[in-house]
Amino acid sequence: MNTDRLIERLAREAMPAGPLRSPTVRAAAWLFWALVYVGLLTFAMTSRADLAANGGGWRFVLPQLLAVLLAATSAVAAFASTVPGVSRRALLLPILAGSFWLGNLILGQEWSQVNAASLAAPGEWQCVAMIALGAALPGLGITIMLRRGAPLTPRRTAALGALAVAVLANVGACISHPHPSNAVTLLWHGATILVLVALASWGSRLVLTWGTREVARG
Amino acid sequence: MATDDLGELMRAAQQGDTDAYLELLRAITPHIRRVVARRGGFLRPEDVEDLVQDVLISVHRVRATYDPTRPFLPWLLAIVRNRVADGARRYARTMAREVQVEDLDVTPAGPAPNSQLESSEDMEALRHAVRSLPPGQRQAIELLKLRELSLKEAASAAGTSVGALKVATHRAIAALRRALRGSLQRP
Repeated sequence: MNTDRLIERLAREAMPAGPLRSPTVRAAAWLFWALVYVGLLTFAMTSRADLAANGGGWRFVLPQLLAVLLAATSAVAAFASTVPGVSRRALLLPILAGSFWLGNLILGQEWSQVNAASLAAPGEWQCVAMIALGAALPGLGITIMLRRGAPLTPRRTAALGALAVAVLANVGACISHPHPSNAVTLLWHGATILVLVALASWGSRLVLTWGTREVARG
Repeated sequence: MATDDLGELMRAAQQGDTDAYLELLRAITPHIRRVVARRGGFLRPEDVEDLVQDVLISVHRVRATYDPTRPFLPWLLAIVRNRVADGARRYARTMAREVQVEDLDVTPAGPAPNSQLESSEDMEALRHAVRSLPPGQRQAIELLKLRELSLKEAASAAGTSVGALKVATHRAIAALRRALRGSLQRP
């Protein structure tokens, strides 16, 4: 097609569009609804006894707060990565928050007590299912929201979005039943989060596309 | 046109002003063409224009991501750079595919190709043969073999049926085979 004709067609067919809200505002909106969903799911799947067994001290609460911080910063970075011309500094935020979260879990563990038997916790399959279930709806939501942006770096955007979703679902799994040690949480929850991030990154180019062929076809 | 004006036009376009949008697209196209030609030095002239159109469609598709409080050109250039990089990857894939065509049995018996020069000459012969095809057959080859569209997508883009496209492709490949055999047999 001739470029001048294409320009005329694009202008003729243009509907009002945007501007989209800032990445921080969009991430906050997503985080609010994701927290509501994960909260309700956790409430439905957690017995009063399990909740009491978790305890309520800072030793339990701090890692959950740091995980929510990691989810929030990952979501901001994911949305920022879909805005052309925006600085990549937003990417530093999840790295920083992730360091705090992992550091807290690693430093809070007596590593001399960790062995293969203590890490083999069959009950943790319940956590894997809980993380997958908790990630489902927020994952769908953030995908729809990210698709409105520009797929400049689809793999990175999808990986950050999946990290936000999976870490938030991990909080629900942590609350749903007591965990024997931080090492178990790191191994089982960490592996589940990594798998979800890898899957999202792998499938990113199927979901986050420029859609130029569709527009070209009209 | 000043960059502030471009930002202002995009702001109006986001609100549905089609005249402002038309003016904006016309104003940015020479910029895009210049950047694509400079960054995509490896491209043929017709590929440069294809990429310019690709960038224009991309700008159209993500125009909602422009924040009117920020400068317009960095936003535009980020899209152009990204699409040129995608174009370079696509171009490399296409070139690899064209080289593979030489491995088919259309190559007559004779001295084995043993230099880069012969290889590029074969590719030039293939390009010339594709350009010499009748419009319908050339379009079929471009859509299916170079742009890698599916049969359904290519038929939709060409405004024809899948069956007619298959026939055109079959005839095009036969014509290419004849043309290449002729050109390669010449000393």
